[in-house]
Amino acid sequence: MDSPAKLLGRARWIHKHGYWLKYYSVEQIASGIGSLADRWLDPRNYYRRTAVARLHEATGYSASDIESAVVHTFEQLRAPVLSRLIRAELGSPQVLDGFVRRAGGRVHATGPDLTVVLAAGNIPGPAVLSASHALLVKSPVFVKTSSEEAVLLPLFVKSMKQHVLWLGRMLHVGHWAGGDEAIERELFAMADLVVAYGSDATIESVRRHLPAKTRLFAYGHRLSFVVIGSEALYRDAPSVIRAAAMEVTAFDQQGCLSPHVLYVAQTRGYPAERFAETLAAELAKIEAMSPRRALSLEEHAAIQQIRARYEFKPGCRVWASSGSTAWTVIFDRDPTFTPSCLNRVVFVKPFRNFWRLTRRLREFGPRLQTVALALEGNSFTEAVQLLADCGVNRVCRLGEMQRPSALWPHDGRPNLGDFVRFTFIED
Amino acid sequence: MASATPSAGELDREIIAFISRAFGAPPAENEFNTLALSVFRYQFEQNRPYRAFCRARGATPGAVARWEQIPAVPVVAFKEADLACESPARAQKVFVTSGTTRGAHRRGRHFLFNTGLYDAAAAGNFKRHVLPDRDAMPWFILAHSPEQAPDSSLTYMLDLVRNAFGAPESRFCMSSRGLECDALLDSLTEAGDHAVGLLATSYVLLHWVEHLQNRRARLSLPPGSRIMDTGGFKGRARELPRVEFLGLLQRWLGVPPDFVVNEYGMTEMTSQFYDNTLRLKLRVGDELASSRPPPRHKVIPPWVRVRVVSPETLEPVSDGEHGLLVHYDLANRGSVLAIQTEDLGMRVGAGFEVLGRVTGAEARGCSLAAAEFLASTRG
Repeated sequence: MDSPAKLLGRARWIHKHGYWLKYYSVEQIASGIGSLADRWLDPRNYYRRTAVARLHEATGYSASDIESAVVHTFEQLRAPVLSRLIRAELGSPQVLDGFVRRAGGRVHATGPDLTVVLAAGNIPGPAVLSASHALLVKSPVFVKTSSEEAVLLPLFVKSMKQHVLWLGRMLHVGHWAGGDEAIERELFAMADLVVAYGSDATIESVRRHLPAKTRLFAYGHRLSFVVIGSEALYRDAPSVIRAAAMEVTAFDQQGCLSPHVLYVAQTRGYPAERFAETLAAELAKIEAMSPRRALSLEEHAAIQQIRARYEFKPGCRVWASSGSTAWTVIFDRDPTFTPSCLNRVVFVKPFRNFWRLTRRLREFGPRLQTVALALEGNSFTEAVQLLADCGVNRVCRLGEMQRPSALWPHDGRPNLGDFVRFTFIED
Repeated sequence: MASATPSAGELDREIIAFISRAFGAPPAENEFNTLALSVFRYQFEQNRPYRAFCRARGATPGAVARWEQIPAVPVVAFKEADLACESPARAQKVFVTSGTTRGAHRRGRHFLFNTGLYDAAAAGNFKRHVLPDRDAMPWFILAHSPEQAPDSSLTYMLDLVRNAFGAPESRFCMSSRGLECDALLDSLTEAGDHAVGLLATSYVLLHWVEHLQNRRARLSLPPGSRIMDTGGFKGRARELPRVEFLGLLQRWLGVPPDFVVNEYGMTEMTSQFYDNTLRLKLRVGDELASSRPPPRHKVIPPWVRVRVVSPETLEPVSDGEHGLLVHYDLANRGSVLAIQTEDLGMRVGAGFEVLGRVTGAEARGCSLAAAEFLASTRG
């Protein structure tokens, strides 16, 4: 852990000299970040290999999950992808370099004078994206790593200082205890924008300590789930089940993108209970090849408790790994959305009427995030409108939950669009 | 071929006889085992949800040869199903867990079909560990009375103690508005030379001590006075270490730590566990035979067995390791003999110590654990 004096000294420096970024065009910055991303996308790259090895050791997640996450993160930072993102959200890159003609006048976009990013510990990657987006809009950025995962960000900034120094010196990664007023009081006052990842409690605490002028992007608790329709089951149930199992086991279900519940259409030829049973077999197979990481006593006990509750609850059935808490499938006819305790514990709930199902989801609106749909035709079209009305902000195919598009407005808000402020010259 | 399963009445008689002999002439291990298997067979046949639970584990009376193999029901199950061996309507008493559950879950219910069995398990055990040196004492009870809390197992037990071992002036000290702090203070100030006893839930006792602190009223209870406390602090002062609490009781009530006996029990289980400290202090019984006194621990009565299991595998942990406490209580004839708690503990000497509840795991990053979620959406 760095001393408050050192951290604040660094923050003041990048805050003071951040304007140097304005000497570069957005294309140059995108190109700089992109060239770094290309290095990380090379499997032989030292930083990538080191990150994957250390992350595997630090988190216990499977090496393949981690490799996937690292690759996915840097795929979103390739120069062409960043250009597409800028065009999609801001119209043209020039709007960040100067004034650009728009309806009614000309407009210029300016990024924050200082962005602070507070990273979470569960899944590596999101904070790297936030930091890169900040640099892209010409904002210097100060990142706090979490105590559970302090591997990826330090290696990222080190690689940036090595290969793209003029960018790297505008990014600082440090660590301090969350809530430490000695640092955060001044840091939050200096920042125009704080991007916070974490639990509700963390975010509330950050919110309370922000001065009024500092904006907050909060990426907190989110709930994701899957909906599987009859056609998908008729067409190829084994593939659907395999894909669903992969979604449940990726990163041991940690992270907001992982499903808590699989809603399965009650289908004459393929009862949802049979789906649950087959899913259980699939989870057992995955456990054999790619075991779930070690858990704390409390996490084990939470799994035992949820298993016991549903074993005795009428109308429910539980399939569970024996002699361990490695995986659990809970079949429950009650359509009410129920969050799982995660770590490879998933609910399978049958449904007949999707509209009725979404009515029950509405109350969780602000919490909903990703829904993977295995639906076709009219079912799909109707479903997405209903889900949008409920509050869902991302719809994807089953199998893609852990790999959001670079262009997905994170948690429903534009990635770059919200970072900047606009200056408008009226005609 | 096994003989016919005993009836409820026969089993209760056997268990009560076992309990009555237990402290005087500790039964052999195979006597416990035989009786436990008998109770298990009866419960397998009479308790439908339990039977399904056992079948799912391949644990039928034919397959189970030792009490350790009897499947233990997690306490949460009492909230989801009626774990009763007779029709619930025939229960003499129904104990309900305290309402600290969040969300829409039901409260757990434990059906008592024979209060005689409960009384046998509770009375002797209490006397042995809290009142080994005399027949009766004035008890001031800092808990709800039977009128206020008719379905509390703790209240029932405390009332039993009051009837069996209470001097006439014994009473419950709570009104509808809570603890009668000043009335209790007055009664104890007038205690004179005669030893008195407090039976309390820990958080109410702490509340009263805080009252004394506010009044700057230190008591010096007569020698021989003692306290039995139970239940934990339930959020009032979760971080208060036991040692500090004992220090407060000594300072404000004049009761030394050896005369404070903690009781550990639960709605779902008939029997209780007490600290061994008072018995040791009063030099009663043959635990003092060895020169080195045993460390403080909860005493396991001879009709109960306790195992400490890993929450991951549900297998017993090595000595000294922490795990979930699993209790096998013969007195639980009417429900289930074997109960898997959500309490973390470890073996200590011939007994065990309770380390606290295994709380729900904290959510990490942007993922959400069930308990937090329920708290936020349903209050």
